[in-house]
Amino acid sequence: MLRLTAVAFILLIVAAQDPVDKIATLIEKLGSDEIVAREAAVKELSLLGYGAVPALRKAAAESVGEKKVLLDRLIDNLTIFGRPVIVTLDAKDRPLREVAADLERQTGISIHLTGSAADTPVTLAAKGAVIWKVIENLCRARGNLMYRFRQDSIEIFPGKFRELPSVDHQSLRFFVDRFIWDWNRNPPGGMQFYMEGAVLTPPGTKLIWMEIQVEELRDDKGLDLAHIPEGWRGFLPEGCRFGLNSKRIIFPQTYRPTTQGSPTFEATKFTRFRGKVAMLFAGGERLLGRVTNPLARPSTPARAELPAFGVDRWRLLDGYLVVDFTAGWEAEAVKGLSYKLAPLMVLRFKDGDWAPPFSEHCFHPGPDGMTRRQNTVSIGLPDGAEVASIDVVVPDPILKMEVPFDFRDIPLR
Amino acid sequence: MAVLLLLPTSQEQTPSAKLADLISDRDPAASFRAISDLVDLSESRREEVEREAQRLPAFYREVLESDLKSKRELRPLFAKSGRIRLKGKGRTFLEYIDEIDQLPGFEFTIVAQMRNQMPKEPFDLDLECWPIEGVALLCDRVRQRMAIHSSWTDPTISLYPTAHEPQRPPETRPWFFYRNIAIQAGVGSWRKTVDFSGPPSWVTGVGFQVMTDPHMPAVDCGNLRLIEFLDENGKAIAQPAPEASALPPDPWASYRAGSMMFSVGLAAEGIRKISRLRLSFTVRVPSEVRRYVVTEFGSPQKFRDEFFDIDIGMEEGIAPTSDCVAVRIVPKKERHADLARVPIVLLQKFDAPSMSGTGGVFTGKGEGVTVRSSWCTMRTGAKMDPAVQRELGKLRRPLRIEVAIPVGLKERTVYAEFRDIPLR
Repeated sequence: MLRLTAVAFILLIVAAQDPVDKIATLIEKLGSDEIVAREAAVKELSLLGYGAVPALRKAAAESVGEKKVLLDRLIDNLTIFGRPVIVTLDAKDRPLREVAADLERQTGISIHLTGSAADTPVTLAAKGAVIWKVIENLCRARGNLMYRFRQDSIEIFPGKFRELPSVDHQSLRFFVDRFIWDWNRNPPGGMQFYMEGAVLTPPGTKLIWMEIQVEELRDDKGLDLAHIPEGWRGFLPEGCRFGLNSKRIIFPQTYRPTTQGSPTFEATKFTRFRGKVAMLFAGGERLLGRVTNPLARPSTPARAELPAFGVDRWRLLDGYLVVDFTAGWEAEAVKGLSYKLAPLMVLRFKDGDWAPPFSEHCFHPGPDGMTRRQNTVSIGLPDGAEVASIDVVVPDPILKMEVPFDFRDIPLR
Repeated sequence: MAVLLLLPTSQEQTPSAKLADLISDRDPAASFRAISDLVDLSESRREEVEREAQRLPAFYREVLESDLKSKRELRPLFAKSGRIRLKGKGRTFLEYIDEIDQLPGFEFTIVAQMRNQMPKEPFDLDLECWPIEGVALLCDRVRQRMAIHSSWTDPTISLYPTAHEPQRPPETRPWFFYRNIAIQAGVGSWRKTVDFSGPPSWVTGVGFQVMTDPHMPAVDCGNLRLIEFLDENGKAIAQPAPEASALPPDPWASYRAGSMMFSVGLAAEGIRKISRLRLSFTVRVPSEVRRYVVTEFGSPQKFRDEFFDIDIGMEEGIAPTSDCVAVRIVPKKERHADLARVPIVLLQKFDAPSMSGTGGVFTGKGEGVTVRSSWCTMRTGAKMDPAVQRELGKLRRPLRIEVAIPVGLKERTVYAEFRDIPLR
């Protein structure tokens, strides 16, 4: 049974590791009869970050009742964000190369410096701040530096600083990169208007679904592009499904108004752009099927009856592992799984790392479950990686989060 | 002064000087024709041509000197190209086209799909042109669509009747012709961007399609250089700054191989036309196209030569419609990394209709690359999903696969000049 857990807003994580006895004391307070004491303990434990998780797990295994519920929820909240990306730094006129090395060491995220950026002296003070904010502040202070996010790293390059509309929530950030109008594309003579943005997450965050839900996108002539006319039968935008990434930090998404409209020609600004980024995270995983040592010869075909999961054939091709597999489960095992929450395949390596296949569309549970079927997936194989298993998992529990945004007065001229 | 006036009449002008006199900023088409003739003339009067080059306007001097250099370096890949005279009274479009098709040495095959639907109105013509120019201008005249396929693997020009879609007649867009090369400017596209760096930026892009005839088979083009770029008032048009998105680059946007297209961008709002565009780019010309043909698919086939180790065999997918012919190519003469982005074409023939070609590129990663045909199978007794079968018919068998790989690629710089490209 899936659990849908609404994650409450949590204050900024401001400290690194605390002593073990402090964690023990706070865990103890979770069992207090005082509501205020329990809430204070939850808040403090949340602030301790990912480092507190082992102790919380140990305590949860030994607890019962409401204390166990509180501990499980705390673990869920802390683990979905993978490794925290909180940094503390005090630099004065230090070359950016040194500062970047320090930030890399603290977060594990690679920072690439382009051109003259490496030698630029920077002054920066941050205590318990999220890396995205630190990078932004660093570039803003200089004015002549800008940043770019790659899949699993950050690039800082010489360029005019751009103040991107953004909203931070815990270790996540949603930002708008740009609004674009295109003419004379397809169809010729037509116009496309859209926004490009992204959500940033710490590496290891198991973000499996994201959708930008715009409630208002109004220009100063009164036109609201988010308004869907009554009886609208056209395309309704949907979000994106992602796999279980272990290093990825950026999840881009494009928003196009449902009615394919664009701002009034005479408009000078968007007076309001508000909505929310709806996200689903895998708080944990329920194993549906596993093939251990899948690169053994001969392959491991699926058994005839359900549940079935097997590797029919595999081949290594120019750095990719291509797997033909057969899978199927009884209706009960995948009951209630929608397209957004379909089972996910993940390749696990012996060093504990993991990688998703390129396509996350390999499983389509219907109302009657997933009957036996075959498919092929490709998975990028890092150099020297030793494959431990191929798993099919159901995200469980599902953690739902909505990050509201409300930007005003975005100039269009 | 009197002496100066007498000089032209008292001294016979050399052929090079006469051609150089035709080159001026006023008439680009005439200038490029004269440059082509000077390049041909340089075989017998090289010093004289090089001397005349010195008095040409800077752009045309650069074009001529570059082509003289290319001719020396690329010979015989720097192809000959003579102009033809298309002349007739009361002849139809297809009659003129057929005349070009019959030209000796013109190795294109002109395929007129549905010949009976081509325009039949007769017209008079008197045109001196390069062959590729003749086909293009004839199509423009009767507003037919044409497509020139890859000149190094499939040297055909297809003509498509437009009678069945009169609501969307092909637009006449500006052309540039030079010897074996035809370049057509596309329709401008506009982009306005609000990226929070200041006022919105405007960028107009114009795409260009490059076509070459088989005398100069080009594999791809790149290294675009804008030499002169003027708006309708003769003012230089600014180039847009590269986009500084905070998002990861789109991997497909940076991918380019075997493409004979390029585009230029203008950082301006409200420009209605490009009054003058002078540019150069490079094309890669193969000295040879290696071809490996397979007609037997019952067992794996191997080819071993000084260039490549090639293994061709059937690859079974999870269903017959995901089976294909897989071609593994490992370069031997050159390092795989040095061949990155060189295209590979599979010309395929099945016992049922399908695309005539597919392919890929050398990735430059690892020791080689595998490219695959469209789906086809050698399975016997296999069944297709009924829904798939309704759409695809029967299981498709491979009859012939030809692997074409260009080798010995040499770079050649191509210059072009456009006037009055409208932007809407």
